[in-house]
Amino acid sequence: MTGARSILEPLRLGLMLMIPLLPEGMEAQASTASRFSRGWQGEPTLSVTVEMASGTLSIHGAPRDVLYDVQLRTEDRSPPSLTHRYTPGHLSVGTDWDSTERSGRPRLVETRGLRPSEVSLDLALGRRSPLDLTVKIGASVARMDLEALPLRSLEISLGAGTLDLSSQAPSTELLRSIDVRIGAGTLTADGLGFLAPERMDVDVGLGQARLGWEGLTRPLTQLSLSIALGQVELRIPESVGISVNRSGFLFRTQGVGLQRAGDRWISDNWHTSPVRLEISAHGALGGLEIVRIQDR
Amino acid sequence: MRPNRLIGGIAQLALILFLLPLSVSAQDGLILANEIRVTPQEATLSLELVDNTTLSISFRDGRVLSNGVSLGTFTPGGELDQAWRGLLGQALIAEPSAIANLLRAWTPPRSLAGGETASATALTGTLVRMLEADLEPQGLRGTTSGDEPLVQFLLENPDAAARLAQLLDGRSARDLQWWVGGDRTLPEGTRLDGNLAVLRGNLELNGILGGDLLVFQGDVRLGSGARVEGDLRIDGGLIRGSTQGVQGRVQRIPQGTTIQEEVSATDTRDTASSIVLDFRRGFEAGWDAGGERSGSRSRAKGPFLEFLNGLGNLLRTGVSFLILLGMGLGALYFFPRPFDVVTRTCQASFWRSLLVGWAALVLSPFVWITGLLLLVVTIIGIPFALLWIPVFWMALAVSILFGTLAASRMLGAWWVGQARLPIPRGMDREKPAVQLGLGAILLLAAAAASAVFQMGGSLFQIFHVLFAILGGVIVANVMALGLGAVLLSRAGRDSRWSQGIEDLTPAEDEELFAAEGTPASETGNA
Repeated sequence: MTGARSILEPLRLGLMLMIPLLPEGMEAQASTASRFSRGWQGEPTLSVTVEMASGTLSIHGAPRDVLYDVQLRTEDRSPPSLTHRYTPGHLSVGTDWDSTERSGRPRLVETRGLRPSEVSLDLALGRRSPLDLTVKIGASVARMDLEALPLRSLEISLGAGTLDLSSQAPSTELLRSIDVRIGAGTLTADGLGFLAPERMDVDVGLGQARLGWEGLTRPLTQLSLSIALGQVELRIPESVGISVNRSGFLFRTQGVGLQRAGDRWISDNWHTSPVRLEISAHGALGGLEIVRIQDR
Repeated sequence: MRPNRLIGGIAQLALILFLLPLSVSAQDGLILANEIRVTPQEATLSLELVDNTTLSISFRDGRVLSNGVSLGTFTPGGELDQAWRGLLGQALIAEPSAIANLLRAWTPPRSLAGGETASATALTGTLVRMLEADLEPQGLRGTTSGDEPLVQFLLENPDAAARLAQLLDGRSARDLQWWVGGDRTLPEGTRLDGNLAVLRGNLELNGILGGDLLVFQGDVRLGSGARVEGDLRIDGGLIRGSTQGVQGRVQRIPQGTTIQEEVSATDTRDTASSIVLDFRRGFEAGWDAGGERSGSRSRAKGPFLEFLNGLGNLLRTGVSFLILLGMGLGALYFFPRPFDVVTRTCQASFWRSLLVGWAALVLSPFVWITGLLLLVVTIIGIPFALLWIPVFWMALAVSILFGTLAASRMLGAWWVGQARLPIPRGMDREKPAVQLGLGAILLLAAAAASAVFQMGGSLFQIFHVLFAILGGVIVANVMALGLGAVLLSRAGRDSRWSQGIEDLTPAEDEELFAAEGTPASETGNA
């Protein structure tokens, strides 16, 4: 793969160099930039709702004394209005869902040149107030870096977009649950173990999900999967004990090293491991693959 | 990750961490919340202060408004407008805690025309009144030294930290005196002890510097009486005058292309450039992320991996087409009449076949279980039950396959019946094999389109997904249609449901692999 990258590197650089040379019509025509930020004032909790129909979304941590910091950029001729409502303890932010759908077609259709999207929303969340985070994504490309964010609950609805979620350090707050609903989108999550949720519910329609459980230290985590036509890949460290209870019609499951124990499939270390993941999977025509990864 | 990038990252981290306490101490608690909006029509800054007062300054429709009250006029695109937009551009990318300092440091252009002067005076007065509690006697930009501008510089140009670390070459940042921005002079006859760093500004040195001189993105002019008792290191600028007064080493750090990018990134008045730069960085980040995850076969990312994945899927679709065509030709060769009846049943009883097919698919598990139970309860049927378990599903699969092939041919027959749709030259539209091939193309067209859009990368992700869904829906319905037709026609033996549709395969044409070159008229095709 390194070889392939080195071969393709000149082409990549060429494409990047072409960006400033794009014709004027493909360049910024009506740039709009907005920013909303608020300092931390001892808020005990913060409930955040993010809604984005299309475009690029980024969520990550903010500097110490910031409660939240929202930045929106767009080059659209008729930019979507940025929804920003704050009442003490509650933040609602996103591109106006109705206005972006008014045209009757996803905004991604209107992209030009090499730009992945004309609307980008960057949300930085403070690390001093426990967070209840709800994210609703349509046809967006989203990235969530949840490292060290004090999440108390996390709810994600993903339409046809892609979402990369990652955490590389333990959370400072007890995360009660993660709820994920995927329509036809693609979710890639790394470091879910660092978030250490008590339970996680994943509902997949036509979409795909890859859930990496790196960093898991909680003694028992419950994972519930409901898969219609989609695909879910679980990447679980070898040291974690696994128990899988599966049911469904034409539901394919694939996992190396699991053995039957009654109505469940368990790993060799299920009874001995101090860290265990209990999986309940129900599917129709979808598939579940369990991949063992090396502990870090 | 390349080693120089790793080293640069570590250096940047170390420098910023080293200066972090300064950053925290420099934070300003005056502004509680801010809202900034920069569009082609307006440039608005709204502030909420800790004492719950609010201030909104807006440049809109040729008027400068403060909390909705007009302060004066401005010329859109004029100097005052540009200066204000430049300020808001800086505020858009600065840390929230640094916005108050940006406002304090801002000064309107000196050469303003007409009414803009009055507007600028009123605007400055408004800002001064709001910030007077903490207002310093002079602005920061280009006139003061100290840590705040350095931190601000690093916050705005995080990538420059690696170059700065290279410039410092092991020197402690705390032991340096920092001059950030603007042109400075060390007059003749004066002496400054210690190491001096000049960032993004020009220095005219006529006096004596009792230490090292480090210059970043600026020029240094050495006068005749200038003396540097340490080293002179410069990055991104010129040394003018004689270096004879430099007692240590004179080192020029080669200028890299990245520095120019950083400069343009901070020029926030050029929003388009900034966005393009952001896009480049995003492009690079996405590429890197794709490379790091490239070990996963199921989630390959990056534009070219997406292209390869799409190409693979396109080839897979092509292979599916060939398999479908091959099996269809086999069915035509070995079962021409049943195949013809099923095809005509699809055509003559389209909706009925579709409904029956879906009902059969949905009910098949129940039929299977019921049949199994009936066989088991009869005791004597238990051996047959053992056969029933696999045979039922095999029969269903064969029926679906046979029906799908017949339904594909129906699609092809529909195609050749449409005068507007093109038919490849040299093909006899009456040939069952041609109809079958065209039908298979229609059946897999959406899947092929999905693969082509996948090759286009994330830009066309939505089309890739939509066509994949469309392809799935089409294939599922064609399968149901074919299964229904197979059931209605009792595997092609009952032509009740195909009335009104003439034979698609005349007797003369049942010889599928007839000698090529025989005109259709000669074979008796209508």
